[in-house]
Amino acid sequence: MRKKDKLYELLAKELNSTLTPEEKALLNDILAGNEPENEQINTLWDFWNKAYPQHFSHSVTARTEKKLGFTDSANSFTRSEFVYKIAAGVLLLLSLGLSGLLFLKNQNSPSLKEYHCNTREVKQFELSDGTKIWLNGGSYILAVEPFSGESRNVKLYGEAYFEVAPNAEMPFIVETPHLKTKVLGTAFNISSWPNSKVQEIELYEGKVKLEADENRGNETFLTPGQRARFNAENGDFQITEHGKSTAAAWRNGILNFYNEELFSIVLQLERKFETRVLVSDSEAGKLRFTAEFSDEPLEKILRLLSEAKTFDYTVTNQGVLIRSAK
Amino acid sequence: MPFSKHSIRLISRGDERKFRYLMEFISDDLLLFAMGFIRKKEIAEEIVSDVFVKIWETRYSLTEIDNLKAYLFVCVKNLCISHIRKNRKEKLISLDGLNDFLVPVVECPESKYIDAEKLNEIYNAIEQLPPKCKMVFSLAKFNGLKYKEIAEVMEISEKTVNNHLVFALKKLSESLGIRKKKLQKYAPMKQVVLFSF
Repeated sequence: MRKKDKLYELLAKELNSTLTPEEKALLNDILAGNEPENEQINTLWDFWNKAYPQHFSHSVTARTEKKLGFTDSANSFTRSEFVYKIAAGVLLLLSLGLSGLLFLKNQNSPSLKEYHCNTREVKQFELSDGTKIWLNGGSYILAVEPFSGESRNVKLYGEAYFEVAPNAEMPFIVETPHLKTKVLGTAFNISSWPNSKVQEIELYEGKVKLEADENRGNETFLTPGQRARFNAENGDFQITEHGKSTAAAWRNGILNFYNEELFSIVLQLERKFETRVLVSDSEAGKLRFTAEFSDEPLEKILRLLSEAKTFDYTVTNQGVLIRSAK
Repeated sequence: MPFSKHSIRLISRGDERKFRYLMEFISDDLLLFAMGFIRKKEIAEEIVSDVFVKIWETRYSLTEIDNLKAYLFVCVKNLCISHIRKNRKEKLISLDGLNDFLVPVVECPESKYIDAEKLNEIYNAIEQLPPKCKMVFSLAKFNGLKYKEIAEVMEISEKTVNNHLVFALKKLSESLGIRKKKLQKYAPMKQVVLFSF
């Protein structure tokens, strides 16, 4: 009975993502023990990670802005919606057929949509133009849909993999801080995390154009297999081969590195394991690794990396400290 | 990130864009929480919007708030309770006096472990939980709040939050287990019926 209580306590913590690595190991041990509850636990796990409330639209933002008297682009959307509604109402009196048509039009009025993804999750969705997007944990995308005008613009915070639906007349533009990635129809990955000075774009198919914001005036093109690192501080692009055969492996929970510096690897480890990883000197930070991990625990990854190229590391409750081997 | 210190500082200095961004980011969650107290969407929307108005009007002191996210949930809770209080004409209502907390309807892609029937069973089992336990479960699962934040919102200790969540998970697991046993029990019956015809 005690074991059972412990199991649920660990499970609750795991789902609330506050489990320490030791506790996680204990939980895995209990679950591996073929308990009668295993199937129920797996069902609950799936429910917790995959079931979401039905999405419904609401007017909280519009209401608040009206009360506060904000005037900006967001308001004009609601106004145009309002105009459509009146028009639909008038025509409804004139002809049922016509109003039916207009009702469809009304549903198509542009509105700001937000897609977000909680940490430790990966979500896939499709935009109104057929573009497929995979969002990595803790990332979000803003878009005004359906797209109108000369281009399809979205804003990205965090990391996402795109499979853009081809449309030569409306280029697809991903905006990240100080950078625009312009495409016609391709597959590529953008990683633009707020805690990293460097943004990365990896291209798998087609062609993309990268434009730094105006005051830098820099731009460059990528071809499949290339990776661009953009440094927002000096506006420079650094282009290398990304060497990855599977596009955006993080979608399946896989971490892979190709000739990558420890400095940039630890940022990915920090996100995946939600812990702090500190590299104390650049001698260790500049070590380069090529590796792939799927569900190895953090400790194992660190051990394997430090065996490949020597460095010292200490794991504490607050996180991990890495320094070069003396 | 809308809840970063930097964003909050900008909002406190009157950055409308950052404020709108914060609203867009968190209003779904707050509305979901408000609708747990108040079934009418219109009223819930109004309450959440009132909270944002209050936040904007007192933006100068935002930087002093320890955890803005939890604070927003606290504000929504307080306004919801005072709304219920007004309508019920009772003087004192706290979370303890709350009859029920409504859990949102969920949808889920089918997987190895979940089908429509199981989803329905879990949902029904959640409905059977006591109100405060339901609220803890809902805040943790649907709003993704941490123990500490839930404790702040509900004015209970983190330990109690943990107890509620463990209780909820155990109940849900039990309800799933009962069905399995039932199915096993009924299986031989079916054979008997077949033979008797």
